[in-house]
Amino acid sequence: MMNAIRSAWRELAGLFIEDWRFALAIAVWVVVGIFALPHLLAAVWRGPVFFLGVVAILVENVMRSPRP
Amino acid sequence: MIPDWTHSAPVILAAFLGSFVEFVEALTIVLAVAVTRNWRSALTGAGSGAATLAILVLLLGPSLGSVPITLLQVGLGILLLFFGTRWLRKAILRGAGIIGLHDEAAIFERQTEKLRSVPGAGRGIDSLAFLTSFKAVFIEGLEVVFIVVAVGAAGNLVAPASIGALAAGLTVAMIGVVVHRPLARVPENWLKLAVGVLLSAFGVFWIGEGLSYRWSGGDWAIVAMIGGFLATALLMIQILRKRTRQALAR
Repeated sequence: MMNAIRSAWRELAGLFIEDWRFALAIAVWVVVGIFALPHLLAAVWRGPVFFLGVVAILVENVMRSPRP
Repeated sequence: MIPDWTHSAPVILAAFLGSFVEFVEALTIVLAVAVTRNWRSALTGAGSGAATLAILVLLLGPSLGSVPITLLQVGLGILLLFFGTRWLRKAILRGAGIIGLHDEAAIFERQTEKLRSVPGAGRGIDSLAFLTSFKAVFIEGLEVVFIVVAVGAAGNLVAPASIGALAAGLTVAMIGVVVHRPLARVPENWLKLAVGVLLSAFGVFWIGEGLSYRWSGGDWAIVAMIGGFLATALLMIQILRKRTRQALAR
């Protein structure tokens, strides 16, 4: 039973997380987007800055990927 | 006035493409089970997986209506962002040749070999076949449900998203009935890249909506972000391919 629950949890988590560093960076950026950006930027700039942050995390992660 | 298609067209497209990929993956496993064990068990398992999923959706679906819209937008936006960027990252790495492409034919071969190595149960319901088929349809179906709910619920667009997913399911089922083989020629990586782009853009947009960010251009910000993610992904594939070629030449 525990194995089945563990396996189901792994399957479920696997839908969203593959590379833990990447997922952690996105999670931290989401926290920044929720708590910090509203205090630091005007409303009109929050969206573009949040989007560019996600793009930067993606670019950094794939550039750091090992060569084949 | 901004046409409603700004919202619903990307939703239908995201649901169709995302669901198409998931249905193709489920079809590969169900076909492998059917040809190596028996059709009856494979189809019963697939049907039971779909039915279990439908019951779960009917039980849990209405509870989404009681969640405050801003919380729903932020929550689903975060899940979409994780799900979409995961697909996008993987599609970039696959497109650049850093990790291997998803090969339905190879998966079919591996699955049939594994299933053949276990003795069958004759003409009755074969538990291995039933469970393998059930799990494939349930897991891939869960992803379809997630895509439909996540891209649709936050903007009250579950109906267009469901239409997209249903169209994908019917298309894959019809092709499966006709060809009786895994759909190895589907350009799965490009589909995943497209879905990753769409879901990531929706994720960022819904998080922003839930947090009362003011998007310049309103809903057109989704289209702009789709363009931004797509351009970034294609550029990264080119840069990484070049880097790989240079590394191999050394």
